[in-house]
Amino acid sequence: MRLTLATLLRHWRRMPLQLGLMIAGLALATALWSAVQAINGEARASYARAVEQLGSAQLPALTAPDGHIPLATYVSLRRAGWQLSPVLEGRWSPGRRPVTLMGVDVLSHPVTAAMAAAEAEADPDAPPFATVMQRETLFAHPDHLPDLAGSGYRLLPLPHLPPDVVIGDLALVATLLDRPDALTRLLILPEQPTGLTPLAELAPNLRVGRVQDGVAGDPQRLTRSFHLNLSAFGLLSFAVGLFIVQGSVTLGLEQRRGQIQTLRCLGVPLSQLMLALAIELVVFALVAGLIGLVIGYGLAGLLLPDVTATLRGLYGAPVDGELTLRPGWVLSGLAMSVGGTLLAGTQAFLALRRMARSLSQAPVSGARRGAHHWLRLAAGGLVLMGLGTLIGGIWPGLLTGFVWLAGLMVGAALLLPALLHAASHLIPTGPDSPLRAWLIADSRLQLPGLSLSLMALCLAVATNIGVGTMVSSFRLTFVDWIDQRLLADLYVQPETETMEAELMHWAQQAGVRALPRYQIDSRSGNAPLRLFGITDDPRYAEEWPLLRSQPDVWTRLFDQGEILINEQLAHRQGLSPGSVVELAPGWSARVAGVYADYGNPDGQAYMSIDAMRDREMPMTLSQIGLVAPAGTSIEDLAQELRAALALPPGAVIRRDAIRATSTAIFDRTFVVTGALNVLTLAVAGFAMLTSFLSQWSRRLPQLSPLWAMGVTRRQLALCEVLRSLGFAAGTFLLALPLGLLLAWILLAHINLEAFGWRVPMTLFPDDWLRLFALTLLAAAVAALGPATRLLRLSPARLLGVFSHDR
Amino acid sequence: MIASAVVRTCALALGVLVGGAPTVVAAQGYAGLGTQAEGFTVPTPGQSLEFPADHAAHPDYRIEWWYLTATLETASGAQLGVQWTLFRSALAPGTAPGWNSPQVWMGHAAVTTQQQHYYAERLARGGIGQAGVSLDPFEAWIDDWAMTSMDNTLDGLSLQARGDEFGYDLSLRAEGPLVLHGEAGYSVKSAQGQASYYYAQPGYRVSGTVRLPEGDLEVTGKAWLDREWSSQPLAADQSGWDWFSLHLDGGDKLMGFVLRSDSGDFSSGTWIEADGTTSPLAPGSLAAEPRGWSAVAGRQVPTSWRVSLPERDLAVEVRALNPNAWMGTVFPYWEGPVEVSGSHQGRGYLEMTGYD
Repeated sequence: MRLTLATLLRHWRRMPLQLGLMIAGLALATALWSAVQAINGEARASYARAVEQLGSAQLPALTAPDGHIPLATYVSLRRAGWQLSPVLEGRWSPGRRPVTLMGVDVLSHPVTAAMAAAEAEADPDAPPFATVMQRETLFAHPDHLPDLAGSGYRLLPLPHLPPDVVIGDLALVATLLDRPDALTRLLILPEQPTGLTPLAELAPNLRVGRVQDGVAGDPQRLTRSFHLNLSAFGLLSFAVGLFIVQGSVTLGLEQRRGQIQTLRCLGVPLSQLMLALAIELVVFALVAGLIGLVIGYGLAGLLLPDVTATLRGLYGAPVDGELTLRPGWVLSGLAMSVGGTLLAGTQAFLALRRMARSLSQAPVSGARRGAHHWLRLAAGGLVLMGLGTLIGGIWPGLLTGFVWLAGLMVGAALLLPALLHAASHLIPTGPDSPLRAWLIADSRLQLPGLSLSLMALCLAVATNIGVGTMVSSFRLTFVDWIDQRLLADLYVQPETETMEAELMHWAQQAGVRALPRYQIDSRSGNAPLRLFGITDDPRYAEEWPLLRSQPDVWTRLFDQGEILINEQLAHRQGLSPGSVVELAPGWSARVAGVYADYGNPDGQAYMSIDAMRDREMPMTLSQIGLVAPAGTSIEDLAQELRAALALPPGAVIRRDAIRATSTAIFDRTFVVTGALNVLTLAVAGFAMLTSFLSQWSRRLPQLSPLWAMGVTRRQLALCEVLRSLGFAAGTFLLALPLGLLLAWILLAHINLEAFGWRVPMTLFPDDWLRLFALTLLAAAVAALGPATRLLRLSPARLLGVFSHDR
Repeated sequence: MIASAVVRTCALALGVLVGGAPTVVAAQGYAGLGTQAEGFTVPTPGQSLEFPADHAAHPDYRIEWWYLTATLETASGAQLGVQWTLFRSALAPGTAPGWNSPQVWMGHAAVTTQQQHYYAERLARGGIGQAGVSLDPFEAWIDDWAMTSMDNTLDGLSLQARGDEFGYDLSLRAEGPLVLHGEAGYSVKSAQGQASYYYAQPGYRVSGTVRLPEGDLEVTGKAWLDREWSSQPLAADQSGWDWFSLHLDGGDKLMGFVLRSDSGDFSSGTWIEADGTTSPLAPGSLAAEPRGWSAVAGRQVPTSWRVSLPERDLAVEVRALNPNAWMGTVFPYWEGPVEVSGSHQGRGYLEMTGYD
């Protein structure tokens, strides 16, 4: 056995480059996969820590349909024996931007443990609760503390809070929000006394549900799609990497045909040969896996800050920026590497069996496989595509959306060789161009050996087009939307009612139109609903973009008490213009239009301020927009406003500043996607390179006769490059529609399922051209190696083919 | 009841209301009660107690409690004990409406049989109505636990509490007068002069129902209510205490405590005759010595004592009905019914803290 293994392994000593390429390919694939896993694992651990620290996500909670539970209701439930922990939540503007302020009863809320720990760290000698309750302490994410510095309260860091959430004792929060007699929800604590009267009897108007919508809710709900995307990317790169391994292993076996025959003749049993091959593969997989893990860890470290920024910026999910090495991650990375290698080696095992059984020396030429082989593959591909579409079409959902994508991608990849084969017959070959005829016939012969790497290329290109189109479409829509939605030139967040009155007065004096926006937090269909009240202004009709609307939508809004709802709410409750929606108990309104609302998972509605005031629900002023009179400099106006009301520089925000910040957050969000795109394409290029190299040794006997007939080595080398470019171009042509289909599914289905909004798809032909050039470049680079070898080949080697031909 | 109440309020003042933080308390000791009273009113001798006003809360004092223990018997003669306690602890003197009130309330309830010990705990903010003590008529409550009277006296009370495994509903009728401890209700707690206001109703007759997992039990027996408030009742070096309330056959009662400290123990108490006549014990006259130890909740606790009071010819063995009467509350302690034998027979309650 040792001899068998040593004989097999000796081969690699003669082929260090090939060995290196195989290991590198597998290592790269493992690296990408494990980097994505490390990032996901880190995010999940962060969520778990946050949930544990906040302690409330696991608990059921009571909420009121209108979002307000009277304090008296809480006390009466407590006096009935129910063990509940009250929470009051609201918007609060201590500085430049508003935050969610969450008040908890420090005697009963699960987050108290984390607060006590923060308190003990800040002041080890102080009795924590007395201090929290007496010294007006607020807790926030450490990064957020500087923003609150001007609030005048004692601030302590609580690292696992979402970035825009501030927690404090109910006494302080109720004062800050000026809601001494109201609560937002009541957590139902785990231990309850026996014999309680059911809640449905005691408080029939309250509903029991999980706390998913509160700030302490489960961040995984929001980020699920993002992580699924990352995982899909990682898996795709891994699959592409396996194509490399498959090519290398099969080639290595082909090259050792002589040795294997000799070993068989010496009486080595087939089972021993198989075992030796398996051991060889596992050793390679382990080595490559370890290298891959090291690279993956480094890669994850590089990408994590961007992912963290994305998760915080887009979803407000708390993720630490530090990477931890987890044993589970190392083991799963190695298992993926070994499992993947063995899977990729299946063909090699089959070939080995065939080889060992037949004592014939002639290589089994896959090239002679009939057209029916391609047809079978193509049929399989079509079935996969059909199945995927069927599943994705029948059961709309996030996971089935990804199944649909997978079916399309794998199916299209299987279809590729048959299409290329068919395409090769379409190229005209006249009697005047024998070399061209040979090149096409030869390409057809090479197709089986190259098909896997071409499939890999196809997947990589399609992913690039798909994800690129999605991101660019999203960006275009987003920027457009931001431009249209920022109706006013300046935005101010008044901190007090006096300031609000002063501001409105100043606006009137200065001839500036003011667009105040009021806010009520309510619930509809057991989900949070934010209501905005606005005043009549022609700018809304001029600039506000609507997805769907009734005629005279703005008259309906301002004069007839109808409302506008966001796309998320419309999708979730199946609403359209003309439908009636419940905004709070006993309060329904007709929908006049639906507007796009990106970057927010919850329902929203806009109505006229008069309709809102009629309800006598507590409302807060969330912002005032100011429209400068024509011909006024906006900067001058901002300065005038600051001077007139003695506002700090950050209190007045210009429209273009908000736009720039939002776009910057957006771009940062998709940095990771861009990086993964480039890496996938690089791995695919690498796969092509290994395929070409693996073809090389078999090519010589086929090229020698041509050379003998007078075709120069330069011409032959050119033919190599041309063939590679031809395949790449053909692959690109299939990958392009596949990528667009991918983009469409991502934009119209997966986004809709994940967030409730649909993004219109835009085509970016410039990007395709660039990608086409990149693909050709990758193909040229991959063919360059064999071509230069051909150029440098000594005539003696070519002649030798004839003398050694057995 | 001084001991447990002090522990409780320590816990509150030190803010260890979150589970798993006893080390913080241990590290900080009882400093919270050894320090100055920071604006709180301090008990002064010679001030007479006034009822019913003094049945209600005294928010200008730092700590206060309504503390009831009962030794009961089922129809079949099985013994059990019941505890109902409401503590008030002020983070600052005075009251304020709503969540801004500096008053914090805590309730403890327990049922101890020979085999089992059940307990529960409740916490509440003052100012919102979730817990408190009111007059017209008298009611002390936290959540659904309540001690209520038909009038402004403590003569007839009804008492309810329940946890996730137990509950009770008892009627109490006083058979004697209120008892003022110390000097007309001014009770000295250390050689340095720390003191509290302290009165009691030690003579209730009890009947009612105790609910346990195995079913409802009709019970009868005796109960003892302690009322005490102060702002700084302990000396800084006092580290734990053993407290006894004993109903002796023949109608006499003994309330006695030993406050342990490095510089020497401080013991005191009150002898209450069957007719309600009280005699304060001179400091040091009561002796209590551990005789048998039990392993409870991972520590050794003395559950058998020899208690002697030579001036009354008392030398008794005090033995726990159930050595496992451990209160695993945020700040844990031992509290349970005891049996008395020796020169006198009887039953009562024992409370012990500081056995870490």
